[in-house]
Amino acid sequence: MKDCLKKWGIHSLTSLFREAPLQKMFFFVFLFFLSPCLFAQTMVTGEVTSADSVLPGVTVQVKGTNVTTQTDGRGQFRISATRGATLVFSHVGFTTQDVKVGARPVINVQLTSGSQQLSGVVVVGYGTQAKKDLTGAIASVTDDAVKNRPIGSLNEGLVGQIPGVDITLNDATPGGETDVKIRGIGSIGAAVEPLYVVDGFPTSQAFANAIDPSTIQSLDVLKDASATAIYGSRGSNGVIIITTKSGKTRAPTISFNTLTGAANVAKRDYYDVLSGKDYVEFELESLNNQWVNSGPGRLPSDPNSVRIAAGQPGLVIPANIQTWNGVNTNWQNAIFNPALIQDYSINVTGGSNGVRYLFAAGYYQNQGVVVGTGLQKYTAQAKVDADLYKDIIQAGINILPSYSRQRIAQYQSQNVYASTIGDALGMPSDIPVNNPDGSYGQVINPQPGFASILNPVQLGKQLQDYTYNLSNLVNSYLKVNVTKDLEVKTTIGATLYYSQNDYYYPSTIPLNGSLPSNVGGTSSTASTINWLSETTVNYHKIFHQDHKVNVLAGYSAQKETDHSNSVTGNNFPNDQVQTLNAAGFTSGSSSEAQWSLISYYARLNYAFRDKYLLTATVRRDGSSVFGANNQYGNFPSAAVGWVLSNEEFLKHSKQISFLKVRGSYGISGSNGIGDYSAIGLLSNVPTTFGAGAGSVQTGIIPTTLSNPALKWEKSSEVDLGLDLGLFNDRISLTGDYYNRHSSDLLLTVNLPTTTGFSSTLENIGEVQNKGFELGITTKNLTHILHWTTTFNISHNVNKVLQLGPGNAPISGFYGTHITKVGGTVGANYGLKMLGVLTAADIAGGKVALFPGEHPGDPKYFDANGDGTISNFNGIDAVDLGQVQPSYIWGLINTFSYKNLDLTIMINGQTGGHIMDLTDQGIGASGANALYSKQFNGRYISDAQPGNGRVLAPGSAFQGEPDTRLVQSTNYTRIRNLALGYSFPKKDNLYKSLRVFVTVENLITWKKSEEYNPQATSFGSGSNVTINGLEGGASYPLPRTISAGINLGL
Amino acid sequence: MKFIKFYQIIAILLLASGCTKKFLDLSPLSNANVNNFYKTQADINDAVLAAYAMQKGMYIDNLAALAQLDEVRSDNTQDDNRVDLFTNDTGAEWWYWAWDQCYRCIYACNVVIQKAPKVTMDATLQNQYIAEAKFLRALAYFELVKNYGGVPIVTTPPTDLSASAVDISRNSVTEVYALIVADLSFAAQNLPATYTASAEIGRATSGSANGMLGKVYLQEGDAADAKTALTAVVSSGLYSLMPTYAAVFDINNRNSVESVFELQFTKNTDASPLESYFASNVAPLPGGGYYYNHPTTDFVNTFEPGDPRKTVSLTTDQNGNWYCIKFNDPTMTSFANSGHNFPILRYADVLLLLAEADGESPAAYALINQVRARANLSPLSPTIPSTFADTLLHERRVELGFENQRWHDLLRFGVAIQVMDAQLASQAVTLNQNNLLDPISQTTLAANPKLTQNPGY
Repeated sequence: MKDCLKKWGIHSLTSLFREAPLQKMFFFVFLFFLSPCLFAQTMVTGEVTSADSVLPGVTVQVKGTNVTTQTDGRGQFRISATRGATLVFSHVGFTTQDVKVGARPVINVQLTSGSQQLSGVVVVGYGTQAKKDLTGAIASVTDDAVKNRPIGSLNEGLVGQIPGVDITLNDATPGGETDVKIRGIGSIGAAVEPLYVVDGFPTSQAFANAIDPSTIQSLDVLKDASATAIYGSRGSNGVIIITTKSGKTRAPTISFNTLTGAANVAKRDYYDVLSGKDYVEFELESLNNQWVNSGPGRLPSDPNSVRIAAGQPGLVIPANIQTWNGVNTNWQNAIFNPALIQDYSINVTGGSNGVRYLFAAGYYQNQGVVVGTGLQKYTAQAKVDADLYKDIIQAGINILPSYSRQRIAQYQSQNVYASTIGDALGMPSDIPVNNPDGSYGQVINPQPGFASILNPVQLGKQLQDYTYNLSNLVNSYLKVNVTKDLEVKTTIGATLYYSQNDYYYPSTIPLNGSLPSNVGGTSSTASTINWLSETTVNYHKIFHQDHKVNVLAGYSAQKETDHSNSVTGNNFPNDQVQTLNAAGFTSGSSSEAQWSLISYYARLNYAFRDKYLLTATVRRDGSSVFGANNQYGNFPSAAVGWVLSNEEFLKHSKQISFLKVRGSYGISGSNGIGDYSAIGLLSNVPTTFGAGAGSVQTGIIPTTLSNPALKWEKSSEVDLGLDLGLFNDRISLTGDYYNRHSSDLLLTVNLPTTTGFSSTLENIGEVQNKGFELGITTKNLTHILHWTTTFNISHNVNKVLQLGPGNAPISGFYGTHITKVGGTVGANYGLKMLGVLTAADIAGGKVALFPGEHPGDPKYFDANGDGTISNFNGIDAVDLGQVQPSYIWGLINTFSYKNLDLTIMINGQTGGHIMDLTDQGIGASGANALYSKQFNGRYISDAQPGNGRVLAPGSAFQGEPDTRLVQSTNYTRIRNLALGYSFPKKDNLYKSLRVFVTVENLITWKKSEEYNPQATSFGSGSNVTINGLEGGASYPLPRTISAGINLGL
Repeated sequence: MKFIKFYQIIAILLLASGCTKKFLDLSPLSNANVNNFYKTQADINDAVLAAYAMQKGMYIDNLAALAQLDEVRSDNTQDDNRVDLFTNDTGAEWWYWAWDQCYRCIYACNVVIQKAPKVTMDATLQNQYIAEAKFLRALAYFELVKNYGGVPIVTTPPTDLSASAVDISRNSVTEVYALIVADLSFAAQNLPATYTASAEIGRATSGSANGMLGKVYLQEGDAADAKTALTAVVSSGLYSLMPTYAAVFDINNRNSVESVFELQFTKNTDASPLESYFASNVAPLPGGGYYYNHPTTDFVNTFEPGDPRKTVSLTTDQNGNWYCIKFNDPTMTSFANSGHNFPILRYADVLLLLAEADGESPAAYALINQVRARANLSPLSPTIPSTFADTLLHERRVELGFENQRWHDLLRFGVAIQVMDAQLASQAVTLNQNNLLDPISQTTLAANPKLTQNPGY
């Protein structure tokens, strides 16, 4: 009998008696039937439903056996079980539920949505797994995180919600892409972006942004190497898996969501800029200081004639600086305007007769708070699944098209400052937006320190700069349940992407003070087709009741072809026709590139008595981008978990409802090395021969070296995690410690030029990211007033371990950033300013000086102690702080009281810094911004030394990258506040109806004046060595107040 | 049966995984690449053309580094203080660029020399292509050995990029000269004397190779072999002096009978920047000039009265500053966009070199007088013994100014220290033996720990 009990998972009778009284009673009933021979096998039937419909495809298993079935299209199931057995109902996205088989032959079960911390199901690579069985670090959020918010991209909705995932809106322009870093920066010269997997298709961020948030079922982020290794050479930067909803067999359900709002840049987020009067005063002082410093015996009062005679025509005081014209323009007011945001989506789900479907359509519009910007986005989805042969053969197709039209008025040239926002901050405030005659106000030329600033309002209104994106993801599958344990699935799909940018610079916008002589435009397109064929075999069985085994094996082939074309036209006769057919002269180019990837992968999940968990994966990736000697790479991982709460000593703990410890180690890779980096490329070089004047002949020469050893960047990562549920999961906690060691990083290595080349690309660098992540959810109140708090925090320490030969530091952008061994990737770098030099300092002779320094110039730290300051080769430069934040955190409180619900999301970060070149101030070449902080508290004389931080106007050191330019990126933001009211259900009218108001970016507390503190113009893209460089000014994150309706029919 | 069909489909899909090797072998679509090139005669011709293009880089890229190392180093011109005043600054970019550009050209030549024998083609043409590459390689090594002394010899394109393979030591001066002589001898035997196809006019000929071989022998101090090689050029009967000195530098007289080998340029698409680089900042040219390589007063004053070569070579700007106009393209419309060719070896140079090989003799004076006669100057005779060297050196200076000859002429005649000390007396600069070789750039040394610096730097 004891064996019998064991077979049913009962290990000691005494333990049973410790259970609750009701269970005890049940046990006695149970005992009554005790004896295997007495256990009659009966056929149990029933229906599984969710809160609002029947659920097909639910796995029903007799606990502790390998007897399983699935609910059919109508949610019905039949299974053979003994009385007293427990049926386990599990389904993706729902809480797994155990039901004991009593005397009833019919069991109807309603599953609840799996939002609970420890009992949900997560999507892992090529499959799903119960969260309680997870051994890796995988974070999940549901659609609630991103829907009903006025956001243009999925990632924006995820900011602050997932521990370990640092999302920066570097380009907050409507339609701009976000910058996502999972567990720090693991590369120096290649990509740091995670892999996106949309409904099983490995792809890029563009396809994630093409999804209507209201159709999202779940978002899962694979973080540690044991989870990402299944994605092999694309896994090391993390994987974001997006799964959309599927149809269910039930009557059609229509869901309609709408949101309308107004966005505005909060006045408290404005830069404090100089008034027209202060600007003129500043400029006058600047010119006079420069004149005084230009030679001995020169006085501020010297008239212009003296200055011209002395050969200093640049220091002449122009008329507009001699007297203020009375104009005071705050250009920020001129370029910011309230923007309408609209979001409509409708979807229909349902199914009958073995066919299930989802149809969705969405429209999003954001007029853009900055003049000349805006986005319109159309999305749609059709997903159909059909049973072709009973529940044995299934086929389905998923189509996800989208179209968007984005406008960003930005002057396309080398000069990154010529954008509406950059020019608004640089435009002198004594210039009117419009002159009395209605024409646009322009910089007076020549105006000291202002080379090519355009009237930003005119730029925004007249420059034509539109980007059209058309994308489609099509994925179809055929699935055969060969036996009830074995499933074979073949998927064939493709992503198609087309992007076109049309740009036209009209003849009406003056450039450098005069109308452009050469009006022109560019039309460029990029298109991509990426196809994927994938076959997986999945086998799951429970052996001898205790051994739960799930084996996955798969093969996939993926290939991408990219085309790009660009046509430039000049010499337009006028602005009437702005397409390039009207150009007097056109030139164009096109290019094409491809990559391919072949992969074999396998995963074993093994659980012993739900206590001891093991996951082992391996992937073998062969890629066209790798060198011939390293065409294939292997990416193994293993992870173990121990569910302590299923052990006898904790099983009945009143405090601890769940406790699991887990550990993993794995190797994953990053293949972002360029399509043809391993192959020596040839280029054309001209030479001339021939009689008479001769003619050009084209020679061909290798311009890059073949490197057949070139391969993926490799990350090996250890993760130690803990999942804890307390007090019946009233408190649940997930914590992870990780140590990711990235090696074989791609770096440009100098070669002796005797080879004929000065450099080549090699796998040589090493970077480490260590840190922890913590997520806590507490159900503070659970009765009439429900209050749940979710808090997450993550900490990352980045350290460069090895660089190229001799560990030569990598300097970024004229030495403003540095990547060196022992430091962080792309740290801010420059001279450390101690204060402002006074005449007394210079006379005293004790302060180390830059040659030629004057009072009012910066007093610098003499890092090498040689008594003088130099910026040559960074000899006096010091590390001015890391760019990436060391802590990021998010706090979400949700309240519900009867039909009211309230959500408050707050997030923030600390420890990061950027270098903002606009802080160089007026007079520095190129970068100009007229901030009050460059005026108030300035040094005037030793008698009026100011606050000791602001240089004298006209200081020759204004442009020097030093401490003045470094800005903290610390901020705390009330990201979202939403208040909703759900009307009681009225079956004859609607199934659900909720109205809500929501405020996005309600308020931001920040240390710097930056509109969007952590965003930088060089933050996007793969060059992490200059991520912290802000060249212009970032698009602000507007405060958006909106209202909307969720209607279910 | 329906059911079976599905299994068949699955089976087919599972098997559809063949040919993986081919699937992963993707060649660049918008760049030609090394894996599918160097297969045909046309490919090899393109590689030879690239070697010529890279050779031009030695003279014109990166602000005419070779002009800096020759003319600016000498008493002819001045520009960068570190070069013309012999300051021991190894950070000056000229040292880097000259080295870099020479080895880039050598790489292009080595590619031809390695690939051409593997292509099936006409044997004569195959040898010609290899000979052209060896000719160009010899010129690059000649520039290196003259300026830096013994340099690492590289005769194949790199295959192994590991430090142990690419970090190589310097060879001796003798070894470098041996390679140059071998390359030029091969070229002299395998290059055609002339090209008949119009599009090939200007490529290296056996005359180019013999002429350069003569110059190399002289630089090495081997007058006898030099004489043989130079005599071959003269006796070929293919070359003669142009009627006037001005005609030599007339843009319409490209590849004239006087040209033994010259760099070829085309305005707009393959232009020479030298005219703009050498012109004064306020020269009446599009975009002005950079005033690199501008003449010293000594050079301006060295011309005999009435020597037409002065006005062909030099002019003054609005401020009275002299600058070089020898390579002017009167049709140039934008900065650094000249179609004027640049001479590497002229017949006048060959005559003077032959005179040098002959040594003081009536024959030698006859050769010098041929060159003087073209400049309408009276013939010279050995009236004062032992002034032959001075006479010849002076004649070379005025005939070949701005053609990157002077510094190495001074070295060859063994008068560099004496001449430069006199030239730089006012600057209180005196030379020693170490100054006769250039330093290797700090950047070059840093990239290869096996390289040793020249003495004195």
